[in-house]
Amino acid sequence: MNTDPTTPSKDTTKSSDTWVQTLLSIPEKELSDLTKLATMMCSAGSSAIAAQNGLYYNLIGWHDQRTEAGNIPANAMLDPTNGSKTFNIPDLSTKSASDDILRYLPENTSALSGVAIEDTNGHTVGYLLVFWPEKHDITEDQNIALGLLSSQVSNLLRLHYAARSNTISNALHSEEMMKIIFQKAIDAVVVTDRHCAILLMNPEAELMLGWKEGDISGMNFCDICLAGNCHDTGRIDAHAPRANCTSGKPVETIVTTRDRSTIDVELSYTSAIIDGHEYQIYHIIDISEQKKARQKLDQQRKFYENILNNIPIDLAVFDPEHVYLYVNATAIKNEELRKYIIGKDDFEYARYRGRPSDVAELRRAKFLEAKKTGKEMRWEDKVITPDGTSVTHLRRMFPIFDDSGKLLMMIGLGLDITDRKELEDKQTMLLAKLSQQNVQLSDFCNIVSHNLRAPLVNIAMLSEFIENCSDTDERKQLISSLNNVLDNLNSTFNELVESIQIQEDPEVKSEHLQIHKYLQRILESLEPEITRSGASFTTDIENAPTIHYPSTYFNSILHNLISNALKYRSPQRKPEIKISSHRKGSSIYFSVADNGLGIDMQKHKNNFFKIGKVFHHHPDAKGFGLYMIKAHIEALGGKIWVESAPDKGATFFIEFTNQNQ
Amino acid sequence: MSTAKKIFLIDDDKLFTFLLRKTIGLTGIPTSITDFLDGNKALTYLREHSGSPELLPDVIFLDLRMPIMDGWEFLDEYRNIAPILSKPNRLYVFSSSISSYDIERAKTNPNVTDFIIKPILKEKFVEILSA
Repeated sequence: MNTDPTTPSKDTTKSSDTWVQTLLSIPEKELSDLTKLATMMCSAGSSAIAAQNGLYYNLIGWHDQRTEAGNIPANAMLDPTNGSKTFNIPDLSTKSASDDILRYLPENTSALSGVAIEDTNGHTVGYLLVFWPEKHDITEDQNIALGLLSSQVSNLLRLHYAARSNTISNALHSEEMMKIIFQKAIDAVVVTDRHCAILLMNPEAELMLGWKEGDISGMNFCDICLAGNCHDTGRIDAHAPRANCTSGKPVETIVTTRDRSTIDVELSYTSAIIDGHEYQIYHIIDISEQKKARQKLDQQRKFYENILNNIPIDLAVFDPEHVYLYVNATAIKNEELRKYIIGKDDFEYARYRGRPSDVAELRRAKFLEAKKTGKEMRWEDKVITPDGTSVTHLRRMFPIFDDSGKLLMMIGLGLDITDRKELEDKQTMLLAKLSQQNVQLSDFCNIVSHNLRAPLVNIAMLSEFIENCSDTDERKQLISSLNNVLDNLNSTFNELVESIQIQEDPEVKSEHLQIHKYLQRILESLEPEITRSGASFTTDIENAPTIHYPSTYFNSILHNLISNALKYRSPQRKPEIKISSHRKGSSIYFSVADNGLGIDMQKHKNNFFKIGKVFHHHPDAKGFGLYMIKAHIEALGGKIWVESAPDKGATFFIEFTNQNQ
Repeated sequence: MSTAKKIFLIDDDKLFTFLLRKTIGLTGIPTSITDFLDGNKALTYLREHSGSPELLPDVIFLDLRMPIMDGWEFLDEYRNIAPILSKPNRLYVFSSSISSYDIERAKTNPNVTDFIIKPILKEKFVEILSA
């Protein structure tokens, strides 16, 4: 009759196992009526039945709607029961070793009494317990009542046991069948009672966990195999009320094996009620290989994504209808936008970003061409970023076909070549400047040869004659010739210096110039010539009254053209000079027309603006002026040309570009 | 004077032609010099008198830089006239240009005997006119 609950022998456990299961299966109401009675008769705070279940005593049969199930470890029960069938602890605080059990008792329990519940063999299956909130010495009457009530529970247990035995023998056949299925199952299966105490493990489970069923039967499955993870899963909570634990979806978790190694598993849990008993069936699938493979795939994906997102090349993949399948982080930095564009096209994206659709149109045209021709498209595009800088990309788009020649996808690449482009532009500019300077240098050589060296030769020859001349009159004549040459040389030299000074600075600042003001100033400076020739002027500049140009240059241009028109006037008629300016697009077309001598265009078409070129036997013709203004105009991206016929007059046209500023 | 060398001077620089006449005078070689202020006038003359050897020059001195028609333009046209001239002549290009490009261009012209950089000394004229 004496049972040691802490170290139940194999036999005892076996024999009382069915009894305990029976006790646990008794409907709560039947037990709670008895515990209610026990509470009342003992004037106690509450009462419960502790059913010995493996290494635990499960507290059941509460009559006061307690929600917590409560378990008391068997070794904690050892102290109060001390192996006897009845025990009384009038003051728990005096018990030196009672700390252990105190943790598992209802709160504010100060006194405790218990009477054993026995099976037909007199083995203890559990205890009827009463709890007092204050210290309490149990009275004789109370002790008798408790013994009677305990006998009632034992009777109830025996009745249920008999009923259960019948059911079990009836179910034996199907149970055998179930067992075979259970044993042969490919996956690991563990069956526990509703308090997670292990009842059965199939061979697969034994293999996986390294435990034999007998080794851990009765132990808490969650504690042994799911340590630490039980609560993490949120689904398999040993301490949650069993009634709320329904079948859940499989969760990924880790099980701990006997040798303390861990295995990644997929764990599903089903709650089943068989013959009024609730069981938990854990289904465990080893997914460590799957998980490794998945991790490897994940690593690979991250590896490639890392590369694709970090290469300094825009990368996009399109389906055959030009819809985005992929775009890397270089192409679209913002992650949200990068997600947005997938499954959409450039037009939708442009609308979404509130951008004009010209980029989308260009790309669509290139896409269609690549699709049609099957060839790679290459182009450069230049966009102005929101911060106002311009960015140039070298774009490539090439189709990928499958074996049957069907378009699978289109890959688009974009390489930022802004720096290279800028360098190229700079080089082109430098080259243009260099070749312009080359021309200037060769012109300069010409000027030095013809306009400076020729008079020097004359001076040298003259001085030699003067030296050897004995005739006074002839000598005087030679000296006056020398003075003329020197004057001429001086003015040529000054003009040359002026022309070079202006050419030196092609980046001189442009301003908005009032044409009529400049005209006024020049007409004033040419006053004597105008009066002498009787010249008349008309203007047609209302269409474009201002010009955006460097002031010195414009002054020089206007002065040259008007003084030329006066200089090469026809002796037969008074000069009529017309100045016009008209805007067309971003350019202003400016012209000076005269009715003078004119020029034979056939003969002079190619070297009209050449340095030193003169078309008339005119004493002032040195041939600098036109060359100079042409150089200025072209240095600023403009154009100059002339229309003329001999003895009809000439019209000089100038196109001033970039006038929209 | 049948022995007098007939010289055509095509140059717009009146001072230079004056000085040239004086220098040639200093050589003592009998010459008859005709001035043309531009290439066009000289061409017209040559065309008109191509069949009269007594009116054609023995030596032509051509300046490169002139208005209306410069020395290069003259040489372009002269290419067509030279074959019909009834009297052979030697053509010297005179220039104050020291450009190697000009010199090369003149010397490779089959109608040009030599390119002479101004100024021209008396000794050079003796050499040319005695040839």
